[in-house]
Amino acid sequence: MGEREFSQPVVKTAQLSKHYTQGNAVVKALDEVSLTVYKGEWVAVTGASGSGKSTLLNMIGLLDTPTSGEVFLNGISTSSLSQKEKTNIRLRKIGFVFQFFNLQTNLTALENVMLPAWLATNDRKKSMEKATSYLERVGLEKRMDHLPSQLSGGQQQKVAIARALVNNPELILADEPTGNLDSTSTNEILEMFKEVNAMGHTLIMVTHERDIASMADRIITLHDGRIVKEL
Amino acid sequence: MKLSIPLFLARKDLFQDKKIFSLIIMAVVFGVGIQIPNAANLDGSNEAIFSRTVNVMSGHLTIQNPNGTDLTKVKENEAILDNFSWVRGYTARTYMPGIVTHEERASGMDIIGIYPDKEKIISKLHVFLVEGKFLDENEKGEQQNVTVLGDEFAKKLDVKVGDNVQITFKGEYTILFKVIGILNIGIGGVDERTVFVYKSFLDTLFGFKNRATEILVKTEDPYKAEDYKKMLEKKLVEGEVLSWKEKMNYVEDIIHANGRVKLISQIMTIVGVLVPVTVLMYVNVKNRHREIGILIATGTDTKTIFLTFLFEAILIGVIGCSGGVALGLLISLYFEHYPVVDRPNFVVTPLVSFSSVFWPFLSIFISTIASAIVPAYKASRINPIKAIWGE
Repeated sequence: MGEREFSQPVVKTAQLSKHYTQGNAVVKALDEVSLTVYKGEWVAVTGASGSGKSTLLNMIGLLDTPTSGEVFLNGISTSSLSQKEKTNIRLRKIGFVFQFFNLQTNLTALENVMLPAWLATNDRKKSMEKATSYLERVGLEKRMDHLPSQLSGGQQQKVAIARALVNNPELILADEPTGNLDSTSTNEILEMFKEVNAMGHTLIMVTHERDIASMADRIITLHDGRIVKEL
Repeated sequence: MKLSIPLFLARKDLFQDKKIFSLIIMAVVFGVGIQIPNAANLDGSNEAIFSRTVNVMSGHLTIQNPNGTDLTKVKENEAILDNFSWVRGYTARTYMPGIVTHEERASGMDIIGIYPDKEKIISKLHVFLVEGKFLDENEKGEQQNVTVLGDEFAKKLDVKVGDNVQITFKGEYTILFKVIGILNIGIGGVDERTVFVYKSFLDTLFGFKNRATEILVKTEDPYKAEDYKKMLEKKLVEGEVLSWKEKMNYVEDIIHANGRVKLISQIMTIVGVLVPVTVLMYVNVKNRHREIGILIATGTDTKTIFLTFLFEAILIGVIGCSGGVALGLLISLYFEHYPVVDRPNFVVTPLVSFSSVFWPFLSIFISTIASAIVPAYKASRINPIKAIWGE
């Protein structure tokens, strides 16, 4: 990917730390991580298992609270936000894609995608139309009424991507999105992420595969909760 | 509040795990379905006892003289009764001891002079007729010396409908009476030692005017008898008022005991439903732990999660309680044909009423919802990180 210019910060972490105690020992899952991600940027977060990649993603996604430090989204500090406000931000501003797809097993593909839109707009009909168009975009127009158990891994991940995009969030957080897919599906999903990023969505993707990381604008490597390399 | 979303999620979740859903529904169905015939049978038992004792022997209120002498201002008292809107009817009776003889057999009896038409409203004695016909003012014609008596007594004296018996009043008058009907009330000794005749016949025979031993009063609500008594006592021209609870206190004790049995069984049923439904709701929340975490992570608020499980309970309540009502009515129908008490002279059939259906429905419905509150709260407080990544 060629050099691109980014100027508007979407995510900023300041001295972000997350410490756990295990018995008498203190585990530093994240240790004073300061990072800025710009609008439209694709950032890959790499590192060995237990390096703090997912913890960082959870902090940025407002799923976890830091021991110290702060997360800013669009310049606004998130530390003083209530759970309700955080939930609202997650619904409207952030899209999540997980390694294991994490779809609702009792909902069809269409319903899985429709739900966040419905929650955001309270308009079931429009949400369904929106979900239909996103599923068409990921090529699943003929699988809309299928339950996740009736879909392949690649198809499930496409549904998850459509779900993440349905509220048109500016930030997409993807945690090892191809970690559970075969090579064909991996390529399809990565192409999809390229398109998503090209549409202007900021993308932070956790991965430990170099090839995938190399597609990003920037690669951040974590080790023992600290940023050790930034390319 | 977006209620349609939790309702949608509840519906989807309910029908996902059919095994758990069926088990919860069954617990609720049986809770209601068993409670309805139980309540109906106890109500039926109360009704059977009440109609054979209070209605027949005392009315809801009895006006009588405290010293046992006859009332001598019956019409004046009846005029006062006409002023109360809660009075549904009244009838005067004259009691007189007598000896009844049939062929070689004789027995001391209570002779009760009644107004048959009024008795049809107050005591409904005619309902207990097992043979012949009841006294009827319109049909009495010239022959007024007719009688209706209890079946136990009829057996004792070997009397049949159409036979003549001699009744000796006060050891003075001996008159031949034709037996036109035989009653079977089942409780209260009436069947063994009571003979009913026209009150008008006794009045004529003894020259009674405006006179009776007691006046039986039927009210709007027998359970308010004490209140009615206070109102009536202030206005009466003559005599005192006794409520059925005073006159037949054992009946109140039986009804009270039945009420307690009903309450205890209701509580047992509620607990019997509350525990399994709570456990099964917990299991459901636990099974869906990860998916609930995902919902929260992807922007579903805690209120929606809470309401989803609450709506599940409401749906279970509606489906289960409706099924329970159907089952309860079927079981009641069974007891209608095969009564819990089926003696020759005392049958208890279920009394299915609004109350015997509504209270089991409501109590189990509320219990079902209550049983979901803690699991629903727990679900709404699930930590998405722990749920998704198991940390």
